[in-house]
Amino acid sequence: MNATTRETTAPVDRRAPARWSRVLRSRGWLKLIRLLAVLFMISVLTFLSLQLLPGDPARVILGDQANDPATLAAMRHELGLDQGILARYLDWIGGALSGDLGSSYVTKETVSSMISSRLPITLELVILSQLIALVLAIPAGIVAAINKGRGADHAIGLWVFGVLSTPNFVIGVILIWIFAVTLGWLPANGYQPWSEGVGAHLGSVILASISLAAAPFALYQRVLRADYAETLGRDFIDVARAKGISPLRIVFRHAIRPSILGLLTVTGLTVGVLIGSTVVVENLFGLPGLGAGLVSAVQNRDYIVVQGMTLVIACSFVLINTLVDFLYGVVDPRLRGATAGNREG
Amino acid sequence: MTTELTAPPAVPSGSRRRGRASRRRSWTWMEILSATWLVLLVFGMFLLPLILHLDALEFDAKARFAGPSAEYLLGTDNYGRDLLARALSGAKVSLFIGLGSTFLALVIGVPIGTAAAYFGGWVDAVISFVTDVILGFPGLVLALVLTAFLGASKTNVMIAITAQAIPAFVRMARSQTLALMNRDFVEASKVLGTRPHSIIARDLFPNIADTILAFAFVAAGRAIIIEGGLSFLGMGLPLPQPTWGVMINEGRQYLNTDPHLILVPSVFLMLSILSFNVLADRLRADATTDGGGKGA
Repeated sequence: MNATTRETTAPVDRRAPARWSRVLRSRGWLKLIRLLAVLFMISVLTFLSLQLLPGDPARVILGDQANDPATLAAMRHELGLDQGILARYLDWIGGALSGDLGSSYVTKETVSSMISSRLPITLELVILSQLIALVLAIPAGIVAAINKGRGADHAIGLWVFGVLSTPNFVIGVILIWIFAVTLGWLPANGYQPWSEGVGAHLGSVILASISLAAAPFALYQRVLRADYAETLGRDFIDVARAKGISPLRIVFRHAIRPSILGLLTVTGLTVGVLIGSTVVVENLFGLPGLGAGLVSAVQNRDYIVVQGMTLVIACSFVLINTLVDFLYGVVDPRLRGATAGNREG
Repeated sequence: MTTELTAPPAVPSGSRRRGRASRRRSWTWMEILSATWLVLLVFGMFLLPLILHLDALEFDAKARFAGPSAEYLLGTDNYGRDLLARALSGAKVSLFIGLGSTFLALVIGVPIGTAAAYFGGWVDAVISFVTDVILGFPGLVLALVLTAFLGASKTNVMIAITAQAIPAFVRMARSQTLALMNRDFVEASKVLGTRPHSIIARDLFPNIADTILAFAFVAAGRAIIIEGGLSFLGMGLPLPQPTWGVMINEGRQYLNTDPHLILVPSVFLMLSILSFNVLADRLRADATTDGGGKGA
């Protein structure tokens, strides 16, 4: 979430721990087992979260209606509270694997249909905000690196630092104030599907995407600036200059390739962070995505929905991070078999 | 940063760092302003309500949406409540939860991470696995769901924010310790037969302390962001306790007419997080030029 941690967390673990855990890291299929184990533990924790509720979950969920013994018994049965905890877990995870996560107590809608209608909106926000962040961060990073230590670098750095220190909902409110209230160009909130027209649709998601893009933009700019500045100091750049290759060509061709790897990694790892950030931003902009669904489920004490959505969010987060690790090995063959280093949540 | 030639610290101890303090670069105006803001905020939130007789909850029907005046220095909100008083009351919550949960996460996470790196093997494998599992939940989602299930109270919000912060400290401490494990002074201690807890406490902790402290400032800023997000979503401390997130959320509907309702808490929030980040950058720069922990 916060980019300023990156520099201090960078040292990658090159030390070989005990033998079998080294095997776990080097062999692809054992990595897969580790991944499955992580997913399994996530499902167990998500399942057990219901146990954190003070008192009988059925009573907590029902609230006032818990006084009716028949309703209470029905709810206890629906939650499986009349069974042992292991049976309940197996039942729940079995359902989850076949796409049945139960149904909302409030709306009666099934959790999986809620997720499938909400997920595309969240994904669109994540993709749009990644694009915005990259489009802004790449030039900002390169300009800062070329002018390292000079005015432009300091100015961009200060701006990035400010963005980094502003929570996304504050950025969102500022954007609403500028573009919706003062200028009146865009709606302050509400969602327009594609069927309402491309302009209306994009208009309804663009401010949210910019709010989401702010933190990744700052992170990417810092990462790219550092890597790019390092590349510019390498010998082969001097050689290229000495050969008389034009400075522009060096900047845009020779220096980019070696500098882009760090950026690629954080871009991938940020996808998961963005899914987390949508929780607040979707709520602010009234967009019916997964994050807003989670919040309204929490507010309605709709715990079955909370469980289901948390499971989906956490699993996609882990799977995306694994995919990034994998792609990292594809992009940089030297790192095959190693991990992509530290992941910051 | 200046490339300062430093001999590797043969005997790591507090005196080493203190002796070097005089050679550090002077404070920039950003750093001075940041420290000043945090100090003012701490004094302000305790003293100003007493001096100015502020009440964060008192309604004033005659002064709704008032601008800044002698009576209400930063104006009032939709119920005529003093925005300065509310912002200062929110500062108590943000700083208490931000610093408290960061402190707890540090105290829990750093020993675990150091132990993982020191012992390696299955200890490391288990700790890394558990860390991976917890990091599978995005920070805000974990905090939100934990608060939802535990119930929103000061303690539970603190627990939730601490829980999402611990893995980062574990990772930090682990990677920092790993960088030290092959250094001669650690090897020497081992050869001499020093007990593990003593090596960890006397050789490893002092050397990772600078970097961890720098990271703690980042984590404090992050904790304040998450606390703000939780209260913005109505899942923070129970009402009527004013927090910055709650104030921003309540001010949303008056954005058209009275943006100062949001401006006041937003400025407090941004300045506080910015201050923590500026100071963290400074501490990290010191830690890396110091030769102690291995920087990036």
